[in-house]
Amino acid sequence: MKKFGILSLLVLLFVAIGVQAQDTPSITYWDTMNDNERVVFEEMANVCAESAGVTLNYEYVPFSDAQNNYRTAAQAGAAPDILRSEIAWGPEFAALGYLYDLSDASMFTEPVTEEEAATYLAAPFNYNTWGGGVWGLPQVTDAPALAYNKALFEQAGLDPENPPQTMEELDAAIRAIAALGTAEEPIYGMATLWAEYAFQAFMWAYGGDLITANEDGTYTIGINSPGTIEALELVKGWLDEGVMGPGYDPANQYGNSITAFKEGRAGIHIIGPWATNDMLSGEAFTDPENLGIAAIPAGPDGLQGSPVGGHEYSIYAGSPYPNEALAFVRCLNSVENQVLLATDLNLVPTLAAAYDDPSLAENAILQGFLAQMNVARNRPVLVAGGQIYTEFAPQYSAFMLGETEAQAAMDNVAAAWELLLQNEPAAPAE
Amino acid sequence: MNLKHLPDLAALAAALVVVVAFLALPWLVIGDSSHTGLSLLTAIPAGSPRYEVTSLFFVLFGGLTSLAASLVGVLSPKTRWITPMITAIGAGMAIFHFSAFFTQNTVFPNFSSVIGAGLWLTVIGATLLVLQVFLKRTGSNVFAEAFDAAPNARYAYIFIAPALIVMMALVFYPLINGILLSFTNATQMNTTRVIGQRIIPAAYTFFSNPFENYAAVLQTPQYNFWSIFGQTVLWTTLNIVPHITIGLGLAILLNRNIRGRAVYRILLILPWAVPSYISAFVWRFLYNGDFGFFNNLLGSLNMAEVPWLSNPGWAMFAVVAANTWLAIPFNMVTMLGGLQSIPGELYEAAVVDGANEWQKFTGITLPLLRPVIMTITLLGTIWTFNSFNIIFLVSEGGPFRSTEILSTWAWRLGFGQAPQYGIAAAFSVIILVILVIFSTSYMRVLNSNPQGVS
Repeated sequence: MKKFGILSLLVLLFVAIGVQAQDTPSITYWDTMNDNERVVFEEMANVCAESAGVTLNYEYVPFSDAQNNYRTAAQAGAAPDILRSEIAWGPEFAALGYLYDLSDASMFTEPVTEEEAATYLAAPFNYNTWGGGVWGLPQVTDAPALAYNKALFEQAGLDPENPPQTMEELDAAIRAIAALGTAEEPIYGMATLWAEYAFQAFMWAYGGDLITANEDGTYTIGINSPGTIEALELVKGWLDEGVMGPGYDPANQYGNSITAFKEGRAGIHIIGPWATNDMLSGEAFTDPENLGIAAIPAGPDGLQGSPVGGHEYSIYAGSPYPNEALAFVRCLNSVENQVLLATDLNLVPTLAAAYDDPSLAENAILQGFLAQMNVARNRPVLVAGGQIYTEFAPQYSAFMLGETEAQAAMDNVAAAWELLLQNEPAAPAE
Repeated sequence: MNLKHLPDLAALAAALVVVVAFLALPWLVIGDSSHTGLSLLTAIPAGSPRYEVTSLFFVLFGGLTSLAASLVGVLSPKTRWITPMITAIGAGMAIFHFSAFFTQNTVFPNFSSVIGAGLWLTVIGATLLVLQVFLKRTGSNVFAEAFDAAPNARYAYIFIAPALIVMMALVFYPLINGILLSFTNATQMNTTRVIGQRIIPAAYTFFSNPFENYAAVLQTPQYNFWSIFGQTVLWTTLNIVPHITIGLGLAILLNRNIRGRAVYRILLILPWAVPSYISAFVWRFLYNGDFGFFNNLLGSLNMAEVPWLSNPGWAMFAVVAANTWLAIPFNMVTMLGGLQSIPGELYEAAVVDGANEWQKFTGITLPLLRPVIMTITLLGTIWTFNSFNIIFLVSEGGPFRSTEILSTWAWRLGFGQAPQYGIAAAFSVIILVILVIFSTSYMRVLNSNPQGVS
């Protein structure tokens, strides 16, 4: 009987805890921001949780694992209420039924209206509108731009306030900076492009393309077009001549490239606003004025492009508190908070109204990234849109390491994408 | 008529009903008497949802299990302890899946469901039966012995029961599930999704040609089967040779009476004590092309830097070296155990006969160590063939998939971008078949040539 008594006490205790926990809705939020960004963001999230009347369960998931983890969790009904999702993941998760359509009036007491959607910049919002729904609200947007070391520009006899405007000027600048180095202590004109993602800017500049959806429902694959090949040969040439470095090491390239740039061993780096604070922590940029940001130069035909990226808040379709979650997201995405993220972290706002804030107009780094945003391009808004790099990445590596010809590598990518597009599910009828 | 047989006979009758009903299933369902449940299973109709066929499969499985168990029970009174139990479990499962078939429930929505629990019971019952039949064939009735003859053995069976159940859950169930999946067009887009209150049932179906996935895996260039198979064989071979030779060499060194032997042993076993993913990250850092230890060392010696992870040949060398470092302790300890079981008298006799060190090694050590070496070669081959951590964490299969092996590649197809469960399951079954063929032929060679085995 004694045992029974203890047991029933325990049960009572658990019931009591359970009842107490039911008082305020508990919202789980998966954050994918990096360490620098999170310091500012977590405080903001706590304030918003209070104002939205929810208990916040803040969980950190590394960005590289988030897509897979979310897939697994969402399938089993265990996903977080809110995910900070890469904007190109939206269509896939929406097609799988994992996300609430935020414009659905039967689900939300205050759904996202067309007026609210219009307050966002079109380029990042575009990814959310797959199949006529609204699958998330964009938090930040980005496009890799041309980051450069002004001191090295000056040493090389270049005008630090007048970064290259064309690919020819860029080529000349890269060579001029590389000439500063010695055999023992090389200086690279440009840090090695860290992945095929950064390469896309060059692809578009020379007239190449990813996937374009045609009016008649078919798709045109531009990855093996002459423009892409020309851009590949250009970049490979820099690597082979040693004016772009350090040498290509795919598994570690992101870290190696940004470190070389931070230490002043590379004059130019193609990188997005997410890395601003990381760059400013480097010894070359103890004076933040030394960091210049500009749009990536135009190709011979005046074409320009850089992949529009960014992150959005999506709400899980299994969340029992959709209204509370949406209220929390709206608080995070207020103009004041976007301005805060922009001033503290140099993250690029997605709300048009945020740009009216005077503090953003004075921020040269942010203005540089904005200049790039104006000439950025959307990746294909497809369910397969988040999957195109699965084949692109290894083929790009194989070419950069000299294992295959550019045309053969890109033909392989095109063949793999055709398989992907065959499985592309139709968007739900509106 | 012995009353003791009553439960067995009742169970037998129940099992008979299940099997007969299974055979008459299509007739019961659609009034088509030209097919039986068995023919539905052997020639799976194109487009039939997987869960229906799966439930059919378990109806057959449970029915036959209970039938066989009850027959054994009737024929051999000594086993009456256990047979009604198996019979009941088997029949219960058959009936359960039978009803699942009719109500068209998804059979495995998730692990926690009642249905899942039923599946476990079926698997346990079937395994007990297989065990029993197998042991009967070898002349000893395990259950009779366990429960009647040897009271001590009874505890032994009770003690292994938890391990057995865990094995069922972690090995048997995924295996059956995986094999069934490999005959379907399952992808991320058509499997069961439980989203809060809403359940999207599985919509994937069996192919009309059951081996469609297998044909696709072997023939489609995008699945890279043949190149990655070649890399896997290369990876395994490159690993096994140093594992065995270095392991043996170190074991022989440590088997001598040298000063500080205990310290050496501890130091050499250390790689084993470090969690393998931590070792993997350390190795990856050492190999970094720009900041890694090795390249900095080479640079300070004024030697050319090595593209450790960015050249296919070097990357393969790098992962093999890391994996060898990890695998040596196990090989060394096992060999050391083998060495210490060799009687010292043999060496003394050899010295009396005037044998030198090399003759002692080839004449005594190697032959007597042969069973150990053979066993760890087999184990090592299977482990290395299937090893995942080092490749996945150190080289990520790169550069451009040149160090990808079948197990990591199957993972990428199944859980990477655009998950294709059917294709990945077919990959896994192919890996299983390769390893089964290898192991059986290896064991045959081993057994047919027992010279030197003491």
